[in-house]
Amino acid sequence: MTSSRTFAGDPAAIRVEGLTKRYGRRTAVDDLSFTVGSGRVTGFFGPNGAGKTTALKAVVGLARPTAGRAFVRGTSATTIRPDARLLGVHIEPCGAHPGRTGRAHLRSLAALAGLSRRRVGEVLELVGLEEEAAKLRVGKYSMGMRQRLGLAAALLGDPEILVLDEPVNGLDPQGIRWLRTLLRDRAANGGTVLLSSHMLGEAAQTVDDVILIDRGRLVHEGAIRDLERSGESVVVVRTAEAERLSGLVARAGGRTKREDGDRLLVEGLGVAEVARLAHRDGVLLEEIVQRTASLEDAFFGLTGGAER
Amino acid sequence: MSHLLRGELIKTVTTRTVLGFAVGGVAFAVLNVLAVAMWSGTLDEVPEKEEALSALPILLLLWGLVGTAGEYRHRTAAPAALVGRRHRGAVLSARIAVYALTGLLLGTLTTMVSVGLALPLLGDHPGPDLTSGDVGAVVAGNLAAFVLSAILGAALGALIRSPVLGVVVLLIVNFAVVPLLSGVWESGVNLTPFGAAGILSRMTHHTTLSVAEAGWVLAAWTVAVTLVAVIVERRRDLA
Repeated sequence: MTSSRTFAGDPAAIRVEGLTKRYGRRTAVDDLSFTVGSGRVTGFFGPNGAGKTTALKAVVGLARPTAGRAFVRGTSATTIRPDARLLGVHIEPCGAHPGRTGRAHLRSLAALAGLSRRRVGEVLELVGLEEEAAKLRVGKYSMGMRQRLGLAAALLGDPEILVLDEPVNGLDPQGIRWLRTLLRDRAANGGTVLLSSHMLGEAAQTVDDVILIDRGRLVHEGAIRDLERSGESVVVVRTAEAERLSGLVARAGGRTKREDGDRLLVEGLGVAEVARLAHRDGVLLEEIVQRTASLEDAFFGLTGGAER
Repeated sequence: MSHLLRGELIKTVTTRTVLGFAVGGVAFAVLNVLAVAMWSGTLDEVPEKEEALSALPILLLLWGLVGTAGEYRHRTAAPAALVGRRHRGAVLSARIAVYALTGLLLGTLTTMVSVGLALPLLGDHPGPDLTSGDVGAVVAGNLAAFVLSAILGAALGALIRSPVLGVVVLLIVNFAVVPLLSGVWESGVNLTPFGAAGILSRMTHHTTLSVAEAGWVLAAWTVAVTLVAVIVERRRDLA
């Protein structure tokens, strides 16, 4: 990809400021602000109905904000000149007429974008849509094939920035792995990816940064590592001398909780500290392991999703 | 702009809708010729004979409406707007221009069928024969009605954004509102797009408007609705 292309002076690929979108009385996105850094894969997460797709539509200029603004490379999304070389977008559904073949769909988009017809064959090959599949009418496509067609359309202009809405939906495990590699490669070459998903665990393997929204509002923005760390981890210990170890942990400033008889959950101390305490006082440990809170736990903790 | 026209043209000709309308247009042309020239008695006036050559502009209105509204129904308008390198109004303008072009092609096809079938049959009727000038004027009127109707339909489709709703509205207006208006203000019907298109294509004759005036009326409707559609397209969200 041609990563050297730049379109304006804004160091952020995408910047959203106080974005609000209302449909009648319903507020889909509420005073949302975030930044997507260049050369990063940013995950845009939230439960179903959180306002992800609406926000993405505002970012790419398909929906006009009720208030606030979105900028792509420093230019307002409402005034930016659409360019497949700058911004590649896939927002579900794939936007292909069911009576048109996949190839014809891409040919029309390539022509509209002023791209060569040869590029159609290249992206079809890139997304793994075989020649026979490309000749089929889109109405006969499986969900995974439609997803690949949508991705092919987004990749037509070899864009500097990719905005993908739920790109892993409908993809098989091989497809998910392929997409992960593709997106990581693009970021490694200076490209920027903003992808939405409600499946944090899967997408977390791909993204560098996380934007988490709930009920249209921002609840977390930062590196994925920070989100992983924000979930509290515990040390799980199995010992016949649980009472004695609890006393040692308490004196060292930690907290303990009993779990399943002889199993002790230690909070506030690391696994090395717990092991050192046990060794010093001759407490025999049958098992010691650090249990890190999953991203889903962090996600639910931030959105309150577990209670819904 | 040429890239927009090319892209929109590819979209228009790569579904079976265009084929359906071509077949429908030819079928109607044949039926109209047979109905007027063979089953409606003696035709001894030029306007009556011209009616046998007339086509059905509402078919092209439907063509434009169904095609453009389908862009929103199938969400194909959004990807086009995202890659077009021009604002949405320009993309819609290109789309409408392509419907005008395909309307001209469909119109030419059906008019050729009408003329080819009708002229030998009209030779059997009494009264003055149609001169080549008469035939040329009818063909020109038909083609103008077809193109303007296709543009008007495409603009309406962009405003209504639902093919089913658009067709229902069109049928209600054509078969309920216009006849009601006719009862209240007969010559007022000529000022509607349907009335003007009927005069322009020679389906109706002996009216208060000349063919040229009807052409201007239909063109005014077309330009006004198209301008509204392009302005609205720039302001509305795309799904």
